[in-house]
Amino acid sequence: MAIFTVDPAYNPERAGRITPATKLAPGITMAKFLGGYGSQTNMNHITDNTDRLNLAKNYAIHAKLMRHVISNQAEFNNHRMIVAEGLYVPAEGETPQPGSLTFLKQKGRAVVYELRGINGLISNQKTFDLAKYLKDTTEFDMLSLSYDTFNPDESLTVQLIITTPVIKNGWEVVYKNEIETRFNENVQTQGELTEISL
Amino acid sequence: MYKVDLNTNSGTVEPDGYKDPKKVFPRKEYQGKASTNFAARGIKRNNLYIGGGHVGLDLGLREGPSSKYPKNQVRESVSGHVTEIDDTPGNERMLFKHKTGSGVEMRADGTVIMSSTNHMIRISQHDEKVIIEGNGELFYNGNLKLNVSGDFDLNVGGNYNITTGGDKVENIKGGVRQTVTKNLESTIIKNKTEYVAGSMSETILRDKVSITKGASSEYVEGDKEIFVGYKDPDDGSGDLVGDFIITTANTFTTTSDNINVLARDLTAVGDEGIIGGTNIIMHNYNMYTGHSINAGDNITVPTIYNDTQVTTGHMNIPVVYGDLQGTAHQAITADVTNSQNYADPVAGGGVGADQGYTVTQNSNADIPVDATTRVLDGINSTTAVTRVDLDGADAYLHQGNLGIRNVRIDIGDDIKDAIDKTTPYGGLSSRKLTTPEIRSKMRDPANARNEDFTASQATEGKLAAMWINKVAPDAGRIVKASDTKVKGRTPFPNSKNGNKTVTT
Repeated sequence: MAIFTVDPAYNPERAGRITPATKLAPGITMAKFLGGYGSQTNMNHITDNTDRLNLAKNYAIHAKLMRHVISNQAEFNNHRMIVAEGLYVPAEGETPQPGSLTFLKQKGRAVVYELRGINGLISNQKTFDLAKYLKDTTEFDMLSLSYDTFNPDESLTVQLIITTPVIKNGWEVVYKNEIETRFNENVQTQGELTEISL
Repeated sequence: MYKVDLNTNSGTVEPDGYKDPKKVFPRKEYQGKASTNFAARGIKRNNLYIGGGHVGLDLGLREGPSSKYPKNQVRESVSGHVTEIDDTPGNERMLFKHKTGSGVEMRADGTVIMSSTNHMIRISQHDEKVIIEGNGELFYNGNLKLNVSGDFDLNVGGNYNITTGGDKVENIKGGVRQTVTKNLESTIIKNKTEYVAGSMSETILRDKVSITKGASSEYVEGDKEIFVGYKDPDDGSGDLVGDFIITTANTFTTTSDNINVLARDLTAVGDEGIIGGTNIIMHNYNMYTGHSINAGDNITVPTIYNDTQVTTGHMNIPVVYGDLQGTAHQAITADVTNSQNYADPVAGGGVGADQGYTVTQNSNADIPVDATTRVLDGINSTTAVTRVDLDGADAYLHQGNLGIRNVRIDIGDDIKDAIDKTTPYGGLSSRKLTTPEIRSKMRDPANARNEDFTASQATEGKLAAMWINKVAPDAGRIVKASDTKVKGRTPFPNSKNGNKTVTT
């Protein structure tokens, strides 16, 4: 068990009403996890502030993780880590399968990231480097290096999916630190990151 | 040459003005090497924090060649601030960089980069004017609030597109005026509600079509008027333009305390039913009754026609119950009360007067009465058939141009499915999705197994057929979880009892 160290200046427990403007880390607000281009949404459907706070606390772990990458200018200066899929709001009648990524995204415990270069495109090689870097320097429940060929042009897309543990009272967390590689949402390897190419 | 006094306290200065009480110079990377700044020699490149592009945004930055000594004038401060004026051919640039990576850079091609690793604040006490000849793209990964004290004028030469993942809320304290030169089209997948505290007016100068697949209700507390068509001229002597048709397949109910139906030519027919009431007065030209007429008081008629009478005379009723008043034609000579039409057999007597009653005898043949034909001005009219039995009613209702319209809307739900994608998308979305959104849905194995969803996305060209491949075609680098060296936690393999750990 570990205690997640939250910056008092960005502790969502002290933020009052949680809104998209609530700051989670320097330069990172809740909005960053709402506007991912794969799952743009708002927080209007979450009316209870306790639920909003739980969401913010989960994203606080992700925000710290993002700052960890941004601060490494030597390695990732010419690359931007963006949120591709943040908060997931299922369609009416859709029930996310418990434990699935959509279920965890609904809780703020899973976020899908992309690493984009100067040209705005996903940098496949650098994403692998980022996965390796995060594996070595951060903690999480699961780090998935996710490849797919969903694009209509059948090009390869690589993303990082990071899931975080349940936060208990006092910011207690238990990290599993598991890693895996996925291809078209099928697990290829567990316990190792594999760079996939076409 | 200068001498470092290692015994000097911080704050004291050697006589020649130099000091290095913390012994930070030369820096680690310069130890044993020439002290000329690496950037000046092209060994190192100082860059601002850029952080990469964004989705669909190419920053278009290309790094020039390395600096050539002595073309690059570099100044680097103790804390790490850097200024560079580089005259290296192909890399003529100027850099003003803060130790955090913030700063300003002017590159060889004239590109100016302003970067901040923290806040960016710009203040002007007067006007600001911006002219950009090319394109612009703004990404705010957080929130954006734009406050304008005065007017906000937005002039767009081309299209004005808004996409929002959440709601759009407009609070307008004044009015709204919108002028649309061409068409206005809105597609609403869910519901639409309008609240108008005042009046609502709608003027349509051409046709209006309203199609409702479900039920339609309209409640009016006050009066409601519907006016259709026009008269030209206004006295109705000329053209009368405008038809009003209401049909319903099952029941049409009109209820009111007072209903007025007025027409120059009125047709109300049906196979069965009731017309009239206890105090209803009926005026008509002809009336055909299939079975009986029951008058509670009097029937006053100048002539009674019988549909079986073919000879002269006008009465051939088999049986009459009750009393008859008046003078029958064949009973004139029986009017002995008033006359004596033979000679008085006794002298002094006289003949009687003429009969006291007369009767008009019409020798014209009866008009054959066709029960299905309207009689107008003494002749059968061929313009209308007014008697309706069950077959006739069915013909009216289901075959004639005045019959019931068969209203069936979007029978196969094709229109609905084109708007609301819930059904074709297997219940996973009511709207069209982008490929990144599809990818997001596919994170759930249950969604990936939803064949309606995947098939429709593939059909629409949003999901490549290759998505079904479960095995990666090729692999490159591999890193295992056990390769992780956690600082201060992972022991060296040969450390005794794991006491020595990785520290860098």
